[in-house]
Amino acid sequence: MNDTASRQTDARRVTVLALVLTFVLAVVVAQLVRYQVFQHTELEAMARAQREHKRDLLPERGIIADADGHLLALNVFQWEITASPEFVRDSQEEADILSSLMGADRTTLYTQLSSEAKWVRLGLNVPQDIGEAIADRQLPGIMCDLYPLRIYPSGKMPAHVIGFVNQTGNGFYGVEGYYNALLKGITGTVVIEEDGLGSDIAEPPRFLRKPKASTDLVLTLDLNIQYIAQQELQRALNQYKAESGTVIVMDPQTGALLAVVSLPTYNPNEFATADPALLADPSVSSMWEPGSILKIITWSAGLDSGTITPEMTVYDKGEMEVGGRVLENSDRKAHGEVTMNEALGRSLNTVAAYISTTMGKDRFYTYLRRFGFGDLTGVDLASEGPGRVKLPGDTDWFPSDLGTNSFGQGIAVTPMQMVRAVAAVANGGLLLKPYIVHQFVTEEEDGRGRTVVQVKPEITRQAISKEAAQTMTDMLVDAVEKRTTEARVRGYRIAGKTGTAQIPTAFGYDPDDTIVSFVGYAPADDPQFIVLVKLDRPRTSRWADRTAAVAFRAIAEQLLVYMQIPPDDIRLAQH
Amino acid sequence: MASQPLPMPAVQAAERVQKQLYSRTIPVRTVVAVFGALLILFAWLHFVLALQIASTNRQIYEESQELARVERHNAVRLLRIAEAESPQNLEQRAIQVEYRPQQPRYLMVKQTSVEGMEHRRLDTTSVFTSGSEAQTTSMQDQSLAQHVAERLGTWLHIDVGP
Repeated sequence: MNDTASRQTDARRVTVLALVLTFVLAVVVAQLVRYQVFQHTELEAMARAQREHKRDLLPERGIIADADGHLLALNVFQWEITASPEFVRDSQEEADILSSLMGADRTTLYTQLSSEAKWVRLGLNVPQDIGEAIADRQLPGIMCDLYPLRIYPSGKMPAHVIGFVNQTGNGFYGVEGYYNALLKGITGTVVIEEDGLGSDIAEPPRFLRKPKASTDLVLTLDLNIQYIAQQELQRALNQYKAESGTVIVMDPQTGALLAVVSLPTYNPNEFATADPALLADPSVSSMWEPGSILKIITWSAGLDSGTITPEMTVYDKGEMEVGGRVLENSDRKAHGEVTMNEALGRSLNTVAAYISTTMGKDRFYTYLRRFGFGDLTGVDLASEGPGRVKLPGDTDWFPSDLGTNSFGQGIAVTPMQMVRAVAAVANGGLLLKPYIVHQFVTEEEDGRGRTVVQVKPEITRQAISKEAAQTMTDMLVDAVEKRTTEARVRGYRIAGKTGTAQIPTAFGYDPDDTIVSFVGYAPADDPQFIVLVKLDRPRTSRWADRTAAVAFRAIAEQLLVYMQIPPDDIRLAQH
Repeated sequence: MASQPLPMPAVQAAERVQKQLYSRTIPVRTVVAVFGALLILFAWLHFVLALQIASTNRQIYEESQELARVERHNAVRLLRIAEAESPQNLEQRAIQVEYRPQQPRYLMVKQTSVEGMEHRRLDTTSVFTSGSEAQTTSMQDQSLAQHVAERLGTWLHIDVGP
């Protein structure tokens, strides 16, 4: 009986044990299923996150060069030297070494290295050679970090055209801003596996996304012409005590920009400390009432539409009423009977108003739009503005605007728009899109070559006929030869026009200050360059022929030599 | 055609062959030893290959570091060249070696045979440099004028002078 009971107890115990073991096993199996089946994805991700790290691979930012290959923007690396004093073994010895390598004060270094601070910076922007020498020493407690730096070797000179790159690697203003995406390339991502100590396991990199090479830019800009323009603009600002100024030099046959200078400017290598007001490029972003240089457009429109001819005469009474407003010549005089050719040379406002009113508002404003005013030029420089052209039908347009607009008042243009419009007269009537990038150069993905994309000139439209443009050029040559003699360059036919513009304020036009400008091109029969000079608020003279025209001549004389353009007689005789 | 039992001698012979076969069976120790040896060989090969891979990776890493270092130095040299080539620097260097800006000089061109050039002709009364500089340079300009004349042909008469 006892045996039977004992056997039954044992059997029960075995059963219970079996059940317990089965339960435990079931729990283990269930957990395994949970981890390996249901939570597989997230647990795998956690495991990957522990041993794998994603790193961004930044392609080196594209370089920028001028038309002759002079580098205008490139990348160098600089070092930042820091220290964790608690890990420094021998402060005296390390201070000696660092002092000799960095040329820094030994006492200061020793004080920093023996301080209680967790982290101290010993040097920033340390040059390549010195940084490498320190890194090679592998001094305990000393960290050497490398970081890229965008450098502009020409400094201030092309600052407005080039722009700058900030600490996040993004370009602003100029070419850096306009082509930021191309210059940056596309950031790649690579997965790196680390060991238990956090060191990289040397394995071939696993790309999640391959970096796309950045694009190098070759500009149409000529650094020597840029230098000439900058020197002469600076000289003009000093001589005429002007506040600021802009010079644009363009190839009127293609629209290629050869020089774009605005002063005052800033150093793009130190953009962080520059006056923010100086960062934008005035040649494309600032607008002004151009004054008399807009008469080139009015006369061109009159010639093209058949409203006027050079020999046509009008009687100038010294004033003219348009839309209830009396418009006067700048000299407040009546000039009597004058030809259109003479009227342009004398820059008569009344004759300009006569042309625009005779053409009628529809035709006159159509011509303004055909010359690109009121629209972006499409130049590849960041922060371009469209200017301001009030059109009939706009709430702020008045009938008198038809008269004032004809001589450049009540209309706001950018220097780039102005030089582009006059270039259309110079080249036979073609309105071209100005451009500054000549070539895009990209490395092939396999690194075995380069792709070069050449930019071709782009014609926006035919603004006026070739005949009208030719006639206008002859009239502009006559204006320089007979009136604006300050702009003449001996041996060459120069076409050009002065502009002395009043400055609008909240209380009407400024009675004292003016903005003077001159736009001209040479040689007149086959223009190789067009130059716009604009000076803001000159103090020594308020007239363009005494200031801007003189600066134009100084630039033109040097350009003719630099571009090896023979005097007209020799050049035409050769032809 | 029912099968006939083998004769006794044949059975004995078969058993004898079987025994001989059993007697040639490879001992377990040998099998373990061979297996162990293969394992060691495999492990050694694996180790050597892993070592080579690690070594090659290290070499690639070091070469990449060296390439990056050379590229960094190259960038610094490019910067030095760009700075040296800048017009500001060239102007300073030119002044140091006593170069001075030249005034443009003009040649008087008379009686050209090109029709319609009258209006483009230079003003012969106001050309050329003025004062003593013109006198001191008249000889070299004469030769320059002759050179131009030779290049342009005999029909062009060139005269120079203050």
